[in-house]
Amino acid sequence: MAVLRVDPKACVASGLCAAMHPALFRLTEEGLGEPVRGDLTEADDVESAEDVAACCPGAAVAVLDSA
Amino acid sequence: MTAPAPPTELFGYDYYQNPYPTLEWLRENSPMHPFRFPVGDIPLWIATRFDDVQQLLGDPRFSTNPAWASKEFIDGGMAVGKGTAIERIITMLDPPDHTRVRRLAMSTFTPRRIAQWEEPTHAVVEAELDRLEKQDQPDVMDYAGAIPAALMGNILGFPLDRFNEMIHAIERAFHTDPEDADANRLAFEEIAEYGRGLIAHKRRNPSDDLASALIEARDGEDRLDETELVAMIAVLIMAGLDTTRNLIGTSVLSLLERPDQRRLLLERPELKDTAVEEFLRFNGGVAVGFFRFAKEDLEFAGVSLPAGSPVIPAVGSANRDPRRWPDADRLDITRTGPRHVGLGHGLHNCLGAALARLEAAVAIPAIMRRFPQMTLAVPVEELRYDEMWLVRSINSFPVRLHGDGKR
Ligand code: HEM
Ligand code: SF4
Repeated sequence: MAVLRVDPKACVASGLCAAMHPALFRLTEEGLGEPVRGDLTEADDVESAEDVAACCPGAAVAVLDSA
Repeated sequence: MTAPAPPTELFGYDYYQNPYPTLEWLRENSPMHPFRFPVGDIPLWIATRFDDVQQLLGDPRFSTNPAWASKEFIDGGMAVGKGTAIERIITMLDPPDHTRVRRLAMSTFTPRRIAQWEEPTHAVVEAELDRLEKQDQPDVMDYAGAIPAALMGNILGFPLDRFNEMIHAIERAFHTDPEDADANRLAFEEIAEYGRGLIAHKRRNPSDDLASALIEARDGEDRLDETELVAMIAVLIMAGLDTTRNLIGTSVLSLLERPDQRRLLLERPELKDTAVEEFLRFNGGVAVGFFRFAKEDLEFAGVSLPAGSPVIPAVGSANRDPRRWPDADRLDITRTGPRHVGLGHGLHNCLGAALARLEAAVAIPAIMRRFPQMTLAVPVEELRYDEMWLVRSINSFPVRLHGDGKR
């Protein structure tokens, strides 16, 4: 249903995404956010990811429609 | 058996003057330290090591919302802003309320949006330097406070004329030595009341600014209730003023005390961004984060905590942890090491981080450049830090702008 991305250049390593939705995001060794899975198939997960995108201080999270 | 005690009493007068020896003692001897908070005599813990503090800030088993706090904590009167609109500030909301409120303001403060304020920041800083230069008794804290007030006023869309009163109210609100039992609450109420007045004015004169957008989210779309609206305006005023003021103040002081770092910043202006990260690490303004309450009985950092236990995340101590930074007590503006927690971590990480970084990156180098001969006008031992637990706040910081020569 949707593709989840984190732009590592925009990420400011706030740790918000992994604290907000640990099922969808985790942090790398350097503290950058990364998606646990790139593809989101559940509507709930898409909505949760969009919430994170709107709260991320780096505007680094993208939730894109998959064709 | 008596518990071993740190060199100075936590949140007592001597601790505020220089907390670092006590924090070092805690990191080495009692990294999750039980003690009683001076206000309300409440039992709580303080976490001081980097790994523990970072984990605490990102751990969903803890909440900042006093709804989860122990009865002793609530009865002790320590819930921030209890009985005022301040109890609904974003910093103390849980999801989904936190999510709903944070997304209304976040887009205004992303690095890209804040970059548009770079020119206005330079203009504000130059104007404040001109004003400082005309003072008979120039004080770096006046300069440092005026900058975040002007920027936040511009972003919100109303001049924060009373920002000096607000800085005092913020300090009284978080004092551990309250004048009387009601002093903290009255100070919070004063901040909320200021917010309500600004909102009433803005409702009559809406424009293209953040306050109008938040009012529209309330009145037009019902995405905020009235208390949340007041709390949001109040937190934006509170969170950005004294924090940024003291980041600028303590950093200028650090540079006056370290001629090599001062010279380096002037000779290599491109270091400004790593310098700001180092200032945030070294003495970043915020001393400790808000209380975290265990939402269930749990184990944390080797300690069993009953549900409701309050834990203080000592970010200022985490940022000096030698386990994370070699030579952590040395200021080195060329450091590119791991990230600090000076702007928090996890759900409640700083919403204004990009603005704080911009203000500091302009204001700190600018004052050093304008006044290359500047010196302290009093011996450094005479500077006093306020007895407020949240921010490491210098009361006044008198300088001779042109050194010992001219005034
Ligand atoms: C040097 C300046 C600043 C420092 C050191 C700083 C530091 C922090 C820290 C450590 C936290 C986390 C608190 C916790 O988790 O207990 C925080 C949260 C916050 N800060 Fe800042 N801050 C600064 C400037 C600002 C500015 C300019 C704003 C204005 C928008 C701001 C708004 C906020 C807000 C709204 C929160 C709560 C966010 C949430 O709960 O989601 N801060 N800040
Ligand atoms: S919330 Fe955004 S900035 Fe923070 S770690 Fe996740 S992706 Fe990075």
